[in-house]
Parts: sequence; C-alpha cells; structure tokens
Amino acid sequence: MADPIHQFELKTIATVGHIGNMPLVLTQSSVYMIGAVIAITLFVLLGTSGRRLVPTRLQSMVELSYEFVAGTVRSSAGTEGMKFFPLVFSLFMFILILNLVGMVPYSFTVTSHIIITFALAAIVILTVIIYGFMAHGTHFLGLFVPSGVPAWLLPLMVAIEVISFVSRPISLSVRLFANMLAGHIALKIFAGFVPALLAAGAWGLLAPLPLALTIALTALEMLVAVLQAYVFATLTSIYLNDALHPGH
Amino acid sequence: MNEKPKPENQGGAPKAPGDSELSARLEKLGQRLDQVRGPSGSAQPEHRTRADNSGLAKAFRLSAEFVSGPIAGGLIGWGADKLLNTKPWGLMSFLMLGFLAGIYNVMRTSGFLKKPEA
Repeated sequence: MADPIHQFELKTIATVGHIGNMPLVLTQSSVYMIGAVIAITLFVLLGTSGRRLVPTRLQSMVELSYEFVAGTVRSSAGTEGMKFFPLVFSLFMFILILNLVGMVPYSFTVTSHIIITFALAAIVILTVIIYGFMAHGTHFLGLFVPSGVPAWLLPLMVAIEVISFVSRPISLSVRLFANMLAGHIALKIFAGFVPALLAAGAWGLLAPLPLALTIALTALEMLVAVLQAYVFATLTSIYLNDALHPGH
Repeated sequence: MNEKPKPENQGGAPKAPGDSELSARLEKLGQRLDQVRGPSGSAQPEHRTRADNSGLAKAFRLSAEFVSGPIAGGLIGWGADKLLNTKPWGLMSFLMLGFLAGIYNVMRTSGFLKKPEA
C-alpha cells in the first residue's frame, strides 16, 4: 500500500549556499511558499487595480476577503486592533492559500510541517510581546495577574497564567499542523484502500466504500482548510487584543 | 489607471454639484454605510463563531488548548532543570502546573470562566 507519510517528505530542488555546515536549501516547500506569496500579491493587486463602483468578480473576491478579515479583527480586537490588520490579513491569506493548494492532488501541504506553523505562531506571539511592552511598559505584565483572586492563591495563578501564555504559540501551531497532517494522512490511507482492495480479487467489490469515504473526506478537508485559516486569524486577533488591553 | 474619483464620474450629468451638496451626499452615504455595517459588523462574526462551535471544530480546538498546557509546562520545567541543575524537580512541578494551565485553557476557551475581555 502507498506510504501515507511519503507526501510530507521534503525534496531538495537547489542548494543556495551554506551557513557554517548547514546547507541553505531550496525545497519544494519553499517554492510553494514563494508561489503563495506571489499568488496572493497578484490576487490583491489585480483585484484592486480596477476600483470599480460595481466590482468585477476578482475585485469582489478581494473585497470579500478584506471584509471578512476586517470583521474578524474588529469583533475580536475592536477598531483599535485594525492597526494589526495587515498582519492578520497576510497570515490568513497565506495559510488559506497554502491549505487550499495542499488539497490539489500530488501537491505539497506546507502547513503540515510544524516548523512552518510554529514560525507563524512565533511571529504572532512576538508581535504581542514586543508591542505590549512598547505600548504599556511593565504594565503589560498585568496580563499575568488575574483580578478577583484571593492573595494566597495569587502565586499559583500567576504561574498558571504564565504557562498558559507560553502554551499559546504551541496550541496555535499544533492545532493547524495537526489538522492538516491528520487530514492528509487519513485521506491518503482511505484512498490507498481502493487499489489495495481492487488488487485482492473478490474483495474488489468493496472498493467503492473507501472511495466514497475518500470523497466525503475531501469535502471535510476543504472545510478544515478554510476553518483552520479562520481560527488562526481569530486567535491572532484575540491575542493581539491582549497586547492592546493587557489589564483584565 | 489612477483616477480615484470614478464613482463621481459615473454619477452622470451634474459634473460640478457644488461643495455643500457633495458633502451632504457624502455624509448621507457615510450614515448609510454605518447603518449597513453596524448590524452586519456585529452579527456576521456572531454567525462565524457559531459555525466555529460545530462539534468537530470545537473538539479540535479544545484538545489543542489542553495538550499545549502540559507541553509548555514540560518545556519550561525541562529548561529550568537544564539551567539550574535541579534535575527532576523542575520537570515534575512544572508538568503539574502545565496540567493545571491546560485545564484552565480549556475552561477559558469553552466559556466556563466568564472573562471580561473574552
């Protein structure tokens, strides 16, 4: 049967140079990411170049994605949070495009690698920390002191709040990575059952069952691909809201 | 290419409608935009969160929230042990604190704790 993990293997396309002993390598993952950035840039630039009052189809798509992300940011971080709109929009589009491209058969899913999702989550959390300290100074540390807690419980609560804060980039990255990885493995395994059953003589009569399941899973994975991009954007805005208003 | 005031041109016959009239129209348009945006600005995300609360999405979200707690605690404890040479104690205590943080995360995410900002 086909190896379900094989699809996540990185393949070297070109070696760009060396940092110490580490080769600096252009993999198919980097190519997909560069392609996604170019595609998003073209999408937004072409969509907004016309600026019609009655939008064309492309412009309408760009406006819809703008309105969608802007609504997400406004509802989670308030109008003040709109200063982070470029960050959230870039993250949302980047993850959305990469997730959807990953659904194309034989393509590579960049977001199924935890180092990618963790880097994205680290960008978010570093933005929260740096902006929080820049805007509020040490007052930002008030984030870790919950209000309305008896004094004897406070040290424990502060420790838990700190760990909870450290766990944010982990949960943010693990959620996206695990969803994409598990979905694609499940898809591959069930699709692999079809040829395996067909090759097993009379068992071939059962082959339509995993095929139907594969089709259903594909629909589910499409939903998950969009949903996870949205969840990432929402949580980013919620965390950014903490940087804007650290006091509970 | 960069003719910005296209909407005015499409308005048609009265090319120069006078400043006061124009500003009045702009104000009216702004009011109507606010009207449109007001309900949809608040109602639309409400819809999305409800969609987000579908069983599967919620399960994925909560499990990630919980698992990340012990992982974060374990990492902190392991790092503290490495730095301070307190071999088993940091990992043990911070792992327990991590479990607490994970449960705390889940309670906060599921809306069990009513936080003012959440």
